[in-house]
Amino acid sequence: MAADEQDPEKPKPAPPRPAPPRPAPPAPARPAPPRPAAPPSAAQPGSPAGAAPPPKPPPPEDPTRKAVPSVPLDCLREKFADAVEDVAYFSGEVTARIKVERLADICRFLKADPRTQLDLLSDLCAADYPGEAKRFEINYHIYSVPHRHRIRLKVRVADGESVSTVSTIWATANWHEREAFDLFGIGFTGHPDLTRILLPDDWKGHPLRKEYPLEGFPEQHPRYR
Amino acid sequence: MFHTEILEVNMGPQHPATHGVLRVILGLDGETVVSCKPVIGYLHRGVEKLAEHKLYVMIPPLCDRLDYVGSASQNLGYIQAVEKLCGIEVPERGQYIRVILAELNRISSHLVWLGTHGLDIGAMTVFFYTFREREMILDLFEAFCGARLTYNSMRIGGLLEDVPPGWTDRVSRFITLFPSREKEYEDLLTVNRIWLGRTQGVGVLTPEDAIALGTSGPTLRGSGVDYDVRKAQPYSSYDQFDFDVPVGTKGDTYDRYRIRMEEMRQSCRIIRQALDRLPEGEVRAKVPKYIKPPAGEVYHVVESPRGEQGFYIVHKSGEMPYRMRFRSPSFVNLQALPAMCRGRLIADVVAIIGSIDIVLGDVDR
Repeated sequence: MAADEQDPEKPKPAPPRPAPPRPAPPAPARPAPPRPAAPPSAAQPGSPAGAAPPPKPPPPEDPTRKAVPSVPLDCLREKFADAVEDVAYFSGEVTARIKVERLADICRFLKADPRTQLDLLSDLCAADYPGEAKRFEINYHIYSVPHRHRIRLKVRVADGESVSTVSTIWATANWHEREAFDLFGIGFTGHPDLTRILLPDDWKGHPLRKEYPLEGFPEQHPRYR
Repeated sequence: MFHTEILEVNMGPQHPATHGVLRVILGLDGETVVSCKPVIGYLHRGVEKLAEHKLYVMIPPLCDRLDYVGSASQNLGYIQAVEKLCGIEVPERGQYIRVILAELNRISSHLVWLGTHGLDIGAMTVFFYTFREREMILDLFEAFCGARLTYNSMRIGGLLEDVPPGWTDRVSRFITLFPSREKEYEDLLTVNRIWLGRTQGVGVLTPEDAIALGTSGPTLRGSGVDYDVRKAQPYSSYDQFDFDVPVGTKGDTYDRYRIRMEEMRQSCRIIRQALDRLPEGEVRAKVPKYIKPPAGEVYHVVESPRGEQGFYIVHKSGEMPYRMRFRSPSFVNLQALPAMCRGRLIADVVAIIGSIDIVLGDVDR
């Protein structure tokens, strides 16, 4: 049952079980994340009795997604109403997706405005969503030491596109952007020293992209999980 | 005047004062540091990639091995992030015991820092004293969960087990004993002229730089910025305890030393209150065996011994995180090293690296 739940959309109950670690052509043992988010319950209508159905996506009026008051968001909406593409709430956290062209302006404003004073860039990290038009998402977790509030900004960029650096606004972004460049291959225009930081300089590929293999060398394992 | 060429010196990656495999490229004019470039990544293990392929219950051991000196805070932060994602409430007894574990771990981590920091600068005696007390804390952890360094004792929803009989009394005895022991270290260092000469005015970080560089923990508070996650955004019932957040004034190595010494005393205070008010009841909430959070994303921060430890989880479907991000304080604090070293002597670099208290496993992830 556990195995069924892990691989909900395994096409056929593959013969007995892929006994050798890497059999030749059939479907991957565990599909790598670029899965099309098929409804898990649909794949196996006749699952064994008693198997708990996977939890359904919660309805929009779910209490964890309740809107919470947020000063930074209000200021952002007031000043850059046209640049805010989407706002999401999850368990008290506020996320604003903004237009990537306006990123530097917005960040400079949020840092300088006395109502927001988001002076500490807590974290900058990227995420990869292959298959979407703009596959990379960059998250800025910003905190205000005087006001003690947080907001998460998001921008979306396509593969090969660049984002303007925020390391001129928060110096700490320097290494975070280098890390995003290193592990995802996202470019940052205006960055003073955009080189690999965690991996060797001659490394090929960007490990946190979803298509990057979890283990092994490409020449040894033509198919990876 | 004399003209000297800038000499480039590699400090590390195999250098005893870099606390692991940190390489610093120093540009030296005589003995003065004119440029400083940390080179990291020697311990990169791809933990974030690994975590994307593991069930939620399988990730805490990975977190333990990031910052192996303060792994209780790592545990706590990760598990609270998952609990936030799933909306799980932890029983109060579980929360209190978590606080006791995290604070004991903070003391033991600061003891490792103090011993090795003293060793770097030349005060060798302190090392033997601090490791004596650290051993007592490790014994307490061993009695609680069987492990001495990478605990993995917390579970989603609470703790694996309640504390063993007599354990709280042992903790209480240790807390009673510890202040006298801490006074021994203070006697050795706080007004020691050599210690003062090596640390006062060395590695000054202004509050503006400290915030701009994103530092946190004692490195930030040494510069006089009052930001402690335990106070600013309390988690795991930290708001129920009475404690002070020490802040420095000058932002030098000595201030960071004083702050960590004071933090150990404050940790004792927190543990004392938690022991006195330890509620009865369950330590673990009822949680499903398979953790399947709703789709969403959370960013949860805790105050680890080194600073703000962040955990960013994106969940889409299934039982594994879609994206797992560890925001490590050592990585960010290390970035402040060039700002602190510029214009100082090469011997000060050793003191400054010690004073920001990095763990390379946490830097490189």
